[in-house]
Amino acid sequence: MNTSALLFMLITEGVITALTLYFFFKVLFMKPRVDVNEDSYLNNDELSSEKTDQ
Amino acid sequence: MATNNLAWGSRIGLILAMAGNAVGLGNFLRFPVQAVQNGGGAFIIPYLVCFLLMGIPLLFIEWSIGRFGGQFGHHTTPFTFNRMSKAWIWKYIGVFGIFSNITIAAYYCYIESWTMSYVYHSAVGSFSGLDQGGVAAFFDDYLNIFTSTTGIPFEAIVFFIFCLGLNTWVLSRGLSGGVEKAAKIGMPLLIIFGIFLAIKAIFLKAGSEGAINDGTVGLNFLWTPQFQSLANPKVWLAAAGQIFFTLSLGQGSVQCYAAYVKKKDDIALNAMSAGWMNEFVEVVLGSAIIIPISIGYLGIDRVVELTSFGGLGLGFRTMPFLFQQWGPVLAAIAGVAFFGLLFFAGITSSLAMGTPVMSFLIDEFKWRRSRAAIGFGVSVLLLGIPTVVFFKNGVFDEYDYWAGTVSLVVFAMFEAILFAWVFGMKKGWPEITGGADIKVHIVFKYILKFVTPIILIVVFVTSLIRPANDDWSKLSFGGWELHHESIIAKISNKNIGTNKEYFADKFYAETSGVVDSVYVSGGNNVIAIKKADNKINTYETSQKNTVLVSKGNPVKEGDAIFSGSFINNVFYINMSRLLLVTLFLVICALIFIAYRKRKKEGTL
Repeated sequence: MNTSALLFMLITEGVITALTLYFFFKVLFMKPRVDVNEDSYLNNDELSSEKTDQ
Repeated sequence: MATNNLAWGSRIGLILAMAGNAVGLGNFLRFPVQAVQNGGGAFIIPYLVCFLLMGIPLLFIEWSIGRFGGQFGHHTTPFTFNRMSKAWIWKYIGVFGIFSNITIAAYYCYIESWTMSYVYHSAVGSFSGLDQGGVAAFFDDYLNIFTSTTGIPFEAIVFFIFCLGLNTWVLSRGLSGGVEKAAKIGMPLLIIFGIFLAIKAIFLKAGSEGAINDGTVGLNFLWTPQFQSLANPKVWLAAAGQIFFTLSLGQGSVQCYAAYVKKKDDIALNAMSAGWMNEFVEVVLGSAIIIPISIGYLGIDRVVELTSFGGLGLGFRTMPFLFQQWGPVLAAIAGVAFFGLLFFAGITSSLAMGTPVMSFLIDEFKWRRSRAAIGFGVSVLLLGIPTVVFFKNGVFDEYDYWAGTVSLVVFAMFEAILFAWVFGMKKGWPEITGGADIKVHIVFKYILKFVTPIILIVVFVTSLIRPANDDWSKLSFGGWELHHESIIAKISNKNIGTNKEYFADKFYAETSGVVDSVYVSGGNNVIAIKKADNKINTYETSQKNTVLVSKGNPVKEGDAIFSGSFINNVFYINMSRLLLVTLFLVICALIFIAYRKRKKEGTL
């Protein structure tokens, strides 16, 4: 590959990959809201009720 | 508030489903072809600019419109738009958010069924021993519903129905139990298959396994910047168009998925995560598969020629042949990975098309979930059968043009105006930033208000009046020749050649040239005419009709080449347009009925 093509590809793909991972991991490690029974996700309600049972 | 038993199971599931909605066949088949045709590496600059100025703002708009509607029990755009503005017209503009989904699903599920079939054919080795022409002929045979490549009669229809059945079954299981599970399986597998194929493509070596070029030759071709192309409006319009397709914007499916997110929950980070995930799949994986592999085996000139027929041809008529060069075992694995990847990309998108239709039936007519899913499946089957049976008569292309291209632009343009100017940024901006897990920069407020609507209006107007050969310097007050793909040219049937009558007793050549060959294929008479640029046009008709020319005869455009009894493509094209207009009006009528019902119940 010529240098300009290689540089262009690496910079573009690098930036896109970094931003994809950044936003994805931000979601992944974001703590659920305190009032999980009022959020949008059914699984959080199940986790919450399991904790209460314990 | 209307009851609706659909809900998301987890945030990751929602993001994967939303990314799956965006990641489609176009990421792997359309994007690389657009890049090749529009300046290689330089295409990525307008593409990313359009992503920032149009893609991300529209994602914010669609997610927030969806969540806003969901608060009032509206999960589809007609009644959400009605909540945003009481002017009667908006709920009927919202009809596009149902119409586009059902129409696109009708032909999209057909392509999805090809990928299913090709996974099967790759696994059982149907392509082994076939040359390039043989693989291309295999695809043509597959599209001819009366020819079977498996021994199953009406194979293309059987696969189509099976594919629709699968979509209906997943949809009937709801969001958390169906759509989300499909995305959680499909998206990781798609990425794994994509990485496997990209590695194989990049490390392709000239002289090994029949390759004539290294895989990096294709990457070099794709990524070498040609900055002069940045001054060409065609490149910018192509980039804007690609952003629409790739993010599934202007369709109504993003709004529907987001309608199941509650008011206090984030949409800004979700939108960014799903949007960038799509960009990763498109730019990083999509650019590293079909172009490097095909240039590795066929060379740059041949691939440029093949891309002029679009990505579908390259994917289905060429790739199975190229995989054969890797030996029978690897060819089977690569074929299953490639068409499996396309299948997962396809089904996660078609499920997103089904959800708004289902939600509409559940919200407005109180249908049960499984009944609504079957309602979607049956509607798509009825609307899709013409695209399967009359594929070669242009019905498929008409659906794609009006529902998959024009409707998206029109809907997104009105939606951006509604959000920024009618609903107003005073109410709109808090809808985006409310509950956000990231800080949305204030600059987006001004982009949303001014830049995005202007870009969308420009895209729409240029689609209306696009000049021939994309030569924008020809625009003048004295008029100009229109591109055959411009909306005005399409409406006035300017792209219909010499066979303008619905029914005729003669068929006329649509190009000038010399008859290259006359033969019989699949029970049809075929005439191949070689044009001055050495490209070949073929004309096919039933054996009952008489061939009027023979090999070596010079033929001029408009000369009769067959006699007998003909139904010309213009008939099928106009009938399919009539069908689409009727569908749109039927949905409008349903909205009117639902509106009156809601008014009576006091739920507006």
